[in-house]
Amino acid sequence: MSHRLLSLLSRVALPVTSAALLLACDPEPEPGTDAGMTDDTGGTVEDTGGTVDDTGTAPSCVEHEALCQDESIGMLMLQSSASAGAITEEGTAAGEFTSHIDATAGGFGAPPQSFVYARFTETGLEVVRIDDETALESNDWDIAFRRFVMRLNSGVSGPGCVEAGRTGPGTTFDALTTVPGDVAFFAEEYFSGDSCEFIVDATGMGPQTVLSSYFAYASCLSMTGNVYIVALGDGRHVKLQVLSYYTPAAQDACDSTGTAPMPSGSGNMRVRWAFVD
Amino acid sequence: MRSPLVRVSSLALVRVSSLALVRVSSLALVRVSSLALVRVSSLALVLCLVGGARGAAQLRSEGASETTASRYRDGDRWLTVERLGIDRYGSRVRISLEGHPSFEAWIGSDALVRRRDGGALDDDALAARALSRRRHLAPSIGLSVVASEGEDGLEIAGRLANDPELEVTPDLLLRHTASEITVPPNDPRYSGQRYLARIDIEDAWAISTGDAASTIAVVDTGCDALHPDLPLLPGYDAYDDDDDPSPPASTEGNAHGTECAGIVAAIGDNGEGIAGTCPECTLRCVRLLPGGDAPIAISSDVAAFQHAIDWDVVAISNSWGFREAVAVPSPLRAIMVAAQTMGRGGLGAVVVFAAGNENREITLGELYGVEGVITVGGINIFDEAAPYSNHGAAVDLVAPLGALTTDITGPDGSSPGDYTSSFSGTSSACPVVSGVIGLLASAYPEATAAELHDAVIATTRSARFATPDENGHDPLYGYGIVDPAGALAYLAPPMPDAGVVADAGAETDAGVVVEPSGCGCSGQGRARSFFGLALLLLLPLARTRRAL
Repeated sequence: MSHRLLSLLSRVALPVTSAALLLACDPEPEPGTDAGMTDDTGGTVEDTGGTVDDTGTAPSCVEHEALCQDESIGMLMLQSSASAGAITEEGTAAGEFTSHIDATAGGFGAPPQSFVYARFTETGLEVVRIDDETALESNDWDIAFRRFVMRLNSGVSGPGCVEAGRTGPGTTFDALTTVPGDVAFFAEEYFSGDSCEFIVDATGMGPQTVLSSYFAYASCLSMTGNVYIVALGDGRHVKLQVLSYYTPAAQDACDSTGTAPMPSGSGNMRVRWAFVD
Repeated sequence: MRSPLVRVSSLALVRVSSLALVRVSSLALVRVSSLALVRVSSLALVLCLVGGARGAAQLRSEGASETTASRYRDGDRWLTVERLGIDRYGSRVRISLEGHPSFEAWIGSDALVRRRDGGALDDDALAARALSRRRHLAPSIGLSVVASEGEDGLEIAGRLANDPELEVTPDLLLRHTASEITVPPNDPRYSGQRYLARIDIEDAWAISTGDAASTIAVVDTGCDALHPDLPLLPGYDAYDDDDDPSPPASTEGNAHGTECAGIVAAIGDNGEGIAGTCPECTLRCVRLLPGGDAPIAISSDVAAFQHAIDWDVVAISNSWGFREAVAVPSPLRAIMVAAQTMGRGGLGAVVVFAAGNENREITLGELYGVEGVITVGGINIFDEAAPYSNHGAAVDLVAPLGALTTDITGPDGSSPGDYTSSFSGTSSACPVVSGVIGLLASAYPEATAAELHDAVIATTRSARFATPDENGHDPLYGYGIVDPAGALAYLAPPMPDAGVVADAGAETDAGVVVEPSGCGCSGQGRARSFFGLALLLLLPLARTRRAL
């Protein structure tokens, strides 16, 4: 019999060694390497400080120092110069936005660039032109994008109070008009504990961010269709769904066939969102 | 002075709203006639003597305010006792001793008496002091339990403090802790094990942190025998049929077994690395998978299980499967079933399998569908199923993916150093459940594999993103998320009705009434009968379809 292990050995982005495997096996292997993961540092830091509110109530949060900053800079390859990635609104209807974020960060294999930082406004998703290291201490942004990683400004990711939770099964973006009472909100906690242990996402490709279940990964990033409620620092809430990581056509192909055609336009995030209060 | 409200038999095991168990430092389960078992909401365990309910509580009314101080002798030491009032456990006191921190206790009706010269204590000597013997407690040291009409244990000890012949101390009620190790443990990277926090492991550890006698077999790539954080007993190499389960150096995936083992039972509170799910259990590793794609004989699989049986393990943790949807060969099925009823004197071992990572439906004809097997899917720290986690009727439950774990020591393995935080897949969820089995078997060493299996599955907590069917089962999440503390509570033995136990007669008034608030207990027969009935009604909905 041919036996196998069940730990995603062929897919886990064991940062250094597996990067080569990904490159060899995957036509579009952007996850893993350009997610910014390096290796398990096992560093020693005080406390992750982030709050996890899974009570289903609105999060309570105060501005705080984002802990594990050294680990963030190392593991996520954070940069000290801002990204030039643009954000374009591709359609607004009744207060609903579809925002296109150029999160390509120079493309796969390019030298690391900063995340694209943004905040939710009444007129759309507004870019905040700051670099990664500044963002660790800035409350000016709500959400950040680089390749397939989306981070919120909370917990270990930033000093803010932007938390999010996934809505329940069967919830559709269109049907969501209020904040469901059973949504559990979480701050970013991809580093945990006194020693800032890195928590990898389920696919082993990047940090376990609050929104990382927007995709599944086999040979391409397929969309799960999950709908999230994002709780902003000012108390307002946004409903959000990631529509695509590739060009719309490539995303459709990935979602339906399991393969994204090349070039896929990876890193061109399209996010549908709207305020719900 | 006798309260009309409170009488319980001397053997009543008083039970609170949630099931409880009692363990003492020796880790032996204790059900002593004079002990009432109490569990408080924090899951801290309290032992309280029924004498407390019968004694102090019957002598003083709950809520009464007492602040009187008195003294008694304990050997050569004089202890000062401040009465703080009456609460659910009896007369609460704070005891002070020069040069020692004060501590809290409760006073029951009983006192402990022995002769100072170690000689036999006869009834006449007791009667002369208005004492009646309840029982010979420890004949080896001449110790008896005594009582006196109208006095509680402290008053007896105070009255006889200067008795030249007798040593008399109150039979104090003291909080006991169940854990051998400190919770939270001092392992420096424990706080980074978010996956354990997500299943409220410390609530379970308040009840059981495992026992070295509870051994879990990890069938995998073998384990690093030199790892300082793994409690390894001798293992087996099923692939090479020898006694060295060490993985080969510098081969891809060679750390897998060591990674699984750490999640199961890395040594807790040893100031080293991490704590396993069952931090005081022991491990035996089986090297079954040599790495690579070479096929492995079924006889190796069978040999792995046979060794686990021979070792009397409580669980067999399997974070492996076949590359294809193989119909389980009958010899393998037979040994997997046998493992659940053989070993441990017939109590058997729970067989746990990872569900696999292919995002496919697994069938009951595969390993996962073998009778009694617990099949484990994976969730992230937000309770979301891993997108690749296999699904289907064979999935029993889910557990958090255990990223941070032990690694092969040194530069070999998944990460530099002795630990890694990059473990993933359902491989990393399966050992969590295997560790939970270890906790259960440690707390209830007489439980059968079937009972352990049922406890784990019947007590899962709901998975928020599941859409369960009418039987409570979801193809991806199974019956829900493993709940270690809930499973421990599930196995707690039903307590006998207060006042209707075997030897309730001589020392107990007829028609005893249970103290409803004593120890926070709800031991009334009717209530418990209803509870039992409700449980029976609910269980068919919650239990697996494959109970043994």
